[in-house]
Order: sequence, then C-alpha cells, then structure tokens
Amino acid sequence: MKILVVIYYDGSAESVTRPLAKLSPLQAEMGFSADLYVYGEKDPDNFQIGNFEGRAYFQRFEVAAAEWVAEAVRALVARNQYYGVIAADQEQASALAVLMANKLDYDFVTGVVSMRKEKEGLLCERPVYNNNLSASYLLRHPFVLSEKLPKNAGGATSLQAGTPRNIVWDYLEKVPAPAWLLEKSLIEENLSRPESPVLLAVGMGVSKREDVNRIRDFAEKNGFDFGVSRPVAMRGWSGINDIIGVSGRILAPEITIAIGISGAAAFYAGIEQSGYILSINTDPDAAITERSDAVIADDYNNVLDGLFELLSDYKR
Amino acid sequence: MKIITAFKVCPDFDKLKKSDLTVEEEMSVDTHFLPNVLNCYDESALELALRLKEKNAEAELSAITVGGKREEPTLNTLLALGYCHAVKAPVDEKLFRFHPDRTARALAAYNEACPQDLILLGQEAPLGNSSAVPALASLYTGYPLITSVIDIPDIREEAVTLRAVRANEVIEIRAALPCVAVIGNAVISKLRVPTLRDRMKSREKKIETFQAEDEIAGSSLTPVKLETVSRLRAGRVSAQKGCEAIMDVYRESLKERLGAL
Repeated sequence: MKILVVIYYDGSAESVTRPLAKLSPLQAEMGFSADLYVYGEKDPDNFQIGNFEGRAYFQRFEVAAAEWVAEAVRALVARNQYYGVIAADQEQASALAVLMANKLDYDFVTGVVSMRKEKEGLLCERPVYNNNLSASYLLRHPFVLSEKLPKNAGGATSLQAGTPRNIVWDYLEKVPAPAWLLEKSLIEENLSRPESPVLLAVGMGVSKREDVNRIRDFAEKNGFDFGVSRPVAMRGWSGINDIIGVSGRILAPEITIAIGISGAAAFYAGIEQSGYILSINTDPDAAITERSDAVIADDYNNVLDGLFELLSDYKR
Repeated sequence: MKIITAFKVCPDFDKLKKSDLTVEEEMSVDTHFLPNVLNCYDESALELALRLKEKNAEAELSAITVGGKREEPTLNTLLALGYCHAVKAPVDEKLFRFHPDRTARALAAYNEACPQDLILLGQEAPLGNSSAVPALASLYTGYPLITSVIDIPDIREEAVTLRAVRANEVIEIRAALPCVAVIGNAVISKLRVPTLRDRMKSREKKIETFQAEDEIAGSSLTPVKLETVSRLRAGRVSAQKGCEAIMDVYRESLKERLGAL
C-alpha cells in the first residue's frame, strides 16, 4: 500500500525533511510505503535523507496556488495507484486537501493530529470546538488528509536513522502563474526563527507592553524561543509570527515557561507537546494550573527578576 | 464593486471551564451559557472590508452569516457601520456543524443570487474548525482562492492587492477579480465600534434573510466519536511566592530539566 505525501518546499531542506521525518514512523507503523511530491516556487537543493525508498517528484510553480497544485497532484495520482494522499502541515494544507479531494473524488479530513489503521480504513482524530474536544473520523481509502501531527509523532525519526543519501528528483513540468495573478512581489522574508529547547510564552496576564518587550528581549539575548497568545499579538504588542496555538505556531520545546497565560485550549494546542511546563499566573484556578507541571501562583512582576537570573545560567 | 464577508458568531471557548464541558447525546455540547464572540478571523475580515470601502467609495459591502439567532446583534452593528446588506441564512447548526460543504454551498448559492467581486472568509471557525469552508466556497463559486491573507491594502477597478503569508515570507499579490480571499492572522484584528449616531442612522435598515436549504446534501464525513481531551499534568503549585517560588520550583523539578538540555 503506497501513499503520496505532498510537501511544500520553501527553499530550505528542513521544509521537506521535517515533515518526512515526522510521517516516516507512522508509515512504518501502518505498513505504508510512500512516494513524495514536493512543490514550490524555488529550485530544490540536494536533500540528504536516510531510509526513503520511494519516488520523489518535484514540481516548480511560478506561484503555488492551491487549485493548481491540486490539479498537478490529480494528474500524478491518475498515473499511479495510491492508497491515499497526505498533505503535510503548512499554511494552505487544508485548502489543498479539500481541492485535491474534490478533483480526485475522494473523502477527506483536514488538520489530523493522530491516526491509526483500522480494518475499515484510517481512524483520524482532529481538534474541534477550538481544541476543547477531539473528533474521530473513519476515513476509507482512497483518501486525502492534511496533517497537523505532533512533532514527535511515532517516536524516533527513522528517516534520520538510515544512511543519508541524496534524493533523486523526478522533475515534473514547471507550472506557469495562473491568469488571475497580475503581479507578485516579496515584502518580507526569513520570518521563521531557529527553534530553542526553552520557550518563554506570554499571555494577556502580562499587563504592559514594556513587560512583553522585556521578556522578548531577554529570550532573544539568551537564545530562547519567544511567543505570545493571539490576543497579545492582536493588541499590537507583538508580531503575528509570534502567535502560538491553533492560529499560530505549534511547538514542542523541552521547557515552556508560560507567563500570564490562562490556558485556553486554543492557545494550549501550541505548547501541549512541551516536555515540561512551568506557569506563572496570579489565579491558581486558571485552566493552565492543571495543565502545567509546576505552578507559581503570583504576579509575574514578583518573579521575573529571579527567573531571568536563573535562566541566564542556561543561555543557548 | 461588491465585497461580501462571511462571518460567524460563536461561543467564547476561552471562558469555558473544563467541568462545564460534557458531550451529550448526538455528539453535541451545551454551550448556551457561554458569552458569544465574533470569530477572530471573521472580525479581521469585516474590518478589512470597511477599510477597503474607505479607500474605494464605489465598494458596496455586504456581510452574510450562515447560522442562527446569535448573529443578529452583529448584523445590526454592521448595518450601523455602513454595510449595505446584512444577511442571515438561518440553518440548523447541528446539521451544519461538521459539514463545511453545506456552509460553503449556502454561501455559493447567495453568490449566485447576488454575484460578488470579492469574497472574504476567515480561515477557520469553531465548532468544526475544519478550515475547509473557504476552499469549498472557492470550488462552488468557481472563484480562485488566495489563502493566508493578512492585509488588503487596496482594491481598484478589476483587481485587489493582498498580502499573504507563505511559509517564512510575506508576499504581496495583485489578483484579478472575482476571487475568494482567506483571512488568516491579519494585521487588523478588531472591528470598530459604531457610534450612537451611526446606530440611529441605520435604524431603518433591515437584516435580510436568505433561505439556505437545510436539505443541501452534505458530502463531508461525519465524526464517529466526539470526546473531551485530558491534558492533566502534575499541576504542583509552589507554596512560596516571588523569587523564593522560583528557587522552590528550580529545586523540585526545573533544575533537572535545565540540566538535561
């Protein structure tokens, strides 16, 4: 049983190797082999990956519009027999899954966070009610799904364990820009930041903009990751790229220090894969309390100096 | 030039206590006790549309919601803010909750009756959180889809200028109309508040009703199970305060974690 994994290439090797490594153990667990369809607006580098045995297609787009990518995948699937198609996590993965499913006339589920093989098909779970509940779907093959799997899905990343070798790309014809696109220009680049094993996350309990800036400055100077809940960014106190949670980054640091975070499920989705969570919140009854490993029930203003002094010894 | 924004008012799940969350029969959850809020992405979309109107006086703004009675106060607010049409398409929420295709078909049916140049949709909304409605609306209207839009600087004649996030970049594109724009984490997040005078002036304006058909066939999968998720951790609350609490936590658990990095 072979599946087709669809991945967006953003110009960095990690944009391809990271989702592949995440999916690889699951494929092994469920007895799938995989082909790879990578698309993007830049020519690919040489990617070194371990245990990848399938075919690797690369298609360059002038503009990777979801509808055109979906059509390209349809054409590829028409030439091969796949048990299903998985769109790897990225901004337009859900839209792509919907459009591919429509073109292929397959069933689809978007935003899948876990899956397991059952006799009748794949049992897929995804969050609903703003991450307060989990819904399970039975997805019969052939299927399309978009994944939002945890970074540690399936345990060890077996792709990295094999002897690294270059992927041999099977280049598909370049796709021109769609007629509706009149102009395109780059406004900002390099938005992503290097990941750190320590995350400082700030919520609405941090009551002053200067305090948010202070925590961000400390994190940046010491090589720690920094993020905020959506309402903090929406106040204009932080950039939209700092947002953590359902609407932003999903992280899996070793240690998260949650400052002024209430623990709303939509935010918590972004840190729940943390190895350890310390929360600092004045309200001991806040939802974050039972979702943390350790809790300091105090005003963050009384704690920050001591916290910074301590963490400075562990700068990255 | 016609611009329509679809929006949803939903329970404020940030106010939800775990003890209040129980899955009832028919996989439904009672949320009537929660305050209502505008879905955050839709709120951005509604305000972005108002700003486009300020830049282009010819733009005619409409807002539509596929839902129930929760949305009526927002529809009145939008009329006060200058929206020409505030439309409700009443449906049985339980039928539409996990069927993004039904919502998208209702939006496409309205677009067929009153064709629009630009359709703005938030990228995701509870209860279903499928992120599938915009792509389905694009399919059913035949309009091209532009995802992860964070700003709409301008709309002129036959084209709209949008800024969108692509992986680790922000790009600006000028797209021919008509199209569907999916609003993500937009730069603009709050819908302005109408003045009392705005409200008085719009008293004569009426909410319009568009009858979306409940019997629209749903082709999306229905969940086989709905359940709460346990996220319990140790939750050890330090008995200390201030810097002493930091040292207490450090000794108890943090030191070992930091040391292992």
